[in-house]
Amino acid sequence: MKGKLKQHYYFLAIFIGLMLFLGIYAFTYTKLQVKLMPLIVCGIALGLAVNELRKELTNHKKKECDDDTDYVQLKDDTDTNRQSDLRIYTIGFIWTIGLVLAIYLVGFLISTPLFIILYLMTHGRRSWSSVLIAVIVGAVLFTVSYFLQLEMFPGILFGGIV
Amino acid sequence: MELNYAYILQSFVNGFLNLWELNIILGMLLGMVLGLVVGILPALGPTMVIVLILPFLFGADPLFALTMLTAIFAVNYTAGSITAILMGIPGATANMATVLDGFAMTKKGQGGRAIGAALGSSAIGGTVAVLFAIIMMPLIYPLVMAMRTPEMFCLILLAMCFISAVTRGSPTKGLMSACLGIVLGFVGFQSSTGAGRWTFGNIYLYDGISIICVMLGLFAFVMLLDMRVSAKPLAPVNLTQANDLRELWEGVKSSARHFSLWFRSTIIGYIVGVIPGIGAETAIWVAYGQAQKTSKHPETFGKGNIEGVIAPESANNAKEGGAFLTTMAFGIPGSMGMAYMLVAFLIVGLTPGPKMVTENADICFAMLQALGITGIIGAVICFFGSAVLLKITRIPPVYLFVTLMPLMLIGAYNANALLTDLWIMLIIGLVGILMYKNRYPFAPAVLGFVLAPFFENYFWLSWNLEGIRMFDSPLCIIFILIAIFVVFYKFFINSCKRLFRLRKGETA
Repeated sequence: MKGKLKQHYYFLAIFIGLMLFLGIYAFTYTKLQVKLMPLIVCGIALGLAVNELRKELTNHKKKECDDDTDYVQLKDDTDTNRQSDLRIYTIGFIWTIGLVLAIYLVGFLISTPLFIILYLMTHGRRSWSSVLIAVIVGAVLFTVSYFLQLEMFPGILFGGIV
Repeated sequence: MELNYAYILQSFVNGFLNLWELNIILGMLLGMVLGLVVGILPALGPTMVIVLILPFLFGADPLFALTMLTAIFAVNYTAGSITAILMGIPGATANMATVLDGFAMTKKGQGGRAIGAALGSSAIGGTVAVLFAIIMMPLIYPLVMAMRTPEMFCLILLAMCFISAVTRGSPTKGLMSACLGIVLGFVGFQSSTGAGRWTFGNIYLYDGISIICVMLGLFAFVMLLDMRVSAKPLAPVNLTQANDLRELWEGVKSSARHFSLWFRSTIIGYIVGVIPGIGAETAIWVAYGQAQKTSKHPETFGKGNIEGVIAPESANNAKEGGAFLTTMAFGIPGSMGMAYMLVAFLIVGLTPGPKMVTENADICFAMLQALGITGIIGAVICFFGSAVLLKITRIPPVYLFVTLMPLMLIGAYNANALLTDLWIMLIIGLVGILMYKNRYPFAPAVLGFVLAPFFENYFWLSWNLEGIRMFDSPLCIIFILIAIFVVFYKFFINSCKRLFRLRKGETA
């Protein structure tokens, strides 16, 4: 519970900070037509976020008062689940960043099969099945991009310009 | 523009004739295949596949693109009922109520009959709802044509309030999500003055953030990562019950025998679909509840009563007819999934709302007709091929992840051929993860982003023409009052309860 609350606090803090910054920035525009709507929307968003933060704090205090052994046990279990979820999300996010970087370097047509092979092999799949899927996906990609005339970035190593 | 019934009739016929062009038929077939596959896979939903397809629809023929997407919606819930009945795992959230009695029937060895009833009621419910929508089209014309810019402004305001406040979870979170979407939608040139807004001198931001990046980042990326966390391959299922055609046919006949039940459920589904922002999840439970109340054997519900399968399955398919009508005619998404359909309209170059119905009525009619036709064909495919479709559930989610992730990145790049879009999508994806983990809905953000420029344009156009008097038309007043009620309804209800309790205390 504490983990979730902490996470939500951070989210709300970032949200409030962002809206404040954008609102203040919008205030500097000279024309009314440019700044009016952003100011209204940022103002509403700020009000809602502060209200949400107030609600969270009130609920948190209430729950702390009701704290008992079962709750602590439950809290520990959900915290562990949440951390493992977050770890899987982070790993997935890192894999995606890696794929984007590979696309930068060698383009879509090489990085995609490479990503598939590496990902599947590191996740316990057999090497031949990983290669087979990578080849099939690569072939489908090539055919689709050829017939639909999709522009596939070739990668800076193969003459792609960023 | 005057109400012209000849134009409506001509559009209806044109729409129907256009459906039979080869590319449109192929598009609908593709849509049906995708809809059936994602319907049967609990890890994927129709919204996910639509979001992944959208980047590839730039420049496509509007009718081809829209009928294909319509076909996905038409067959998705039909396929989802098969896993709900045989495995107890709903293919989509709209099939949750079907699990209660459908799975109980499977345990009794009546799975084939339950599937037949689900397919029959899905096909009939969907088709009848489409007929309702087609009949309603000419009837809503006067209302649609009464819309001027002030009314459109108020209507967009109402749509955003509806989708934010009615969404699952806290209305505050829904509204915050909508505000975030609007803020992202304001980035770039302000259309009436040409001045840059929140661009920080960056050339990329002058054109605004790409709609594809927002959709893929906020929805597809997060859902793909989530699939790694939550999805597991489904256990193999005994296919004997799905293969028994005689039992399946018995089920279809049962759904026809319960005429009044599916008709009532269809009407419930249709009405829920017309109301903006409320999804099939509401329709199925309302239909299930009324089926139990009106049943001769309410005590058998949840233990394998076929009425508990017919009611939710009629309602979830009927909902689409109503939702499509609201989305096309007023530009207000009838459900969360329709918010993404709005984006599809914009991508193919159509403006949803009154203009869509008055200028592209043939496409509107064609979409409704495609919804009905593909719904029936989808049910027939499921009738004969449910055993084959069930084999798809054995695909491990890890294979879906590795094939869909590159596809998503290709889609993000393909929209503008800019690698910067990939990074922007990842940043928005990070925001999406934080939103998802803290239970903030995505649909209001997407809707806010899509409607933000229209919202601002309509406001300034109306303000420059009429000033504060822009709000004094009856329609504007009605829309604003409904919007206020939708946002503050919990507060109103609580206040009324408190007042009632106080008075009760005084009299005691």
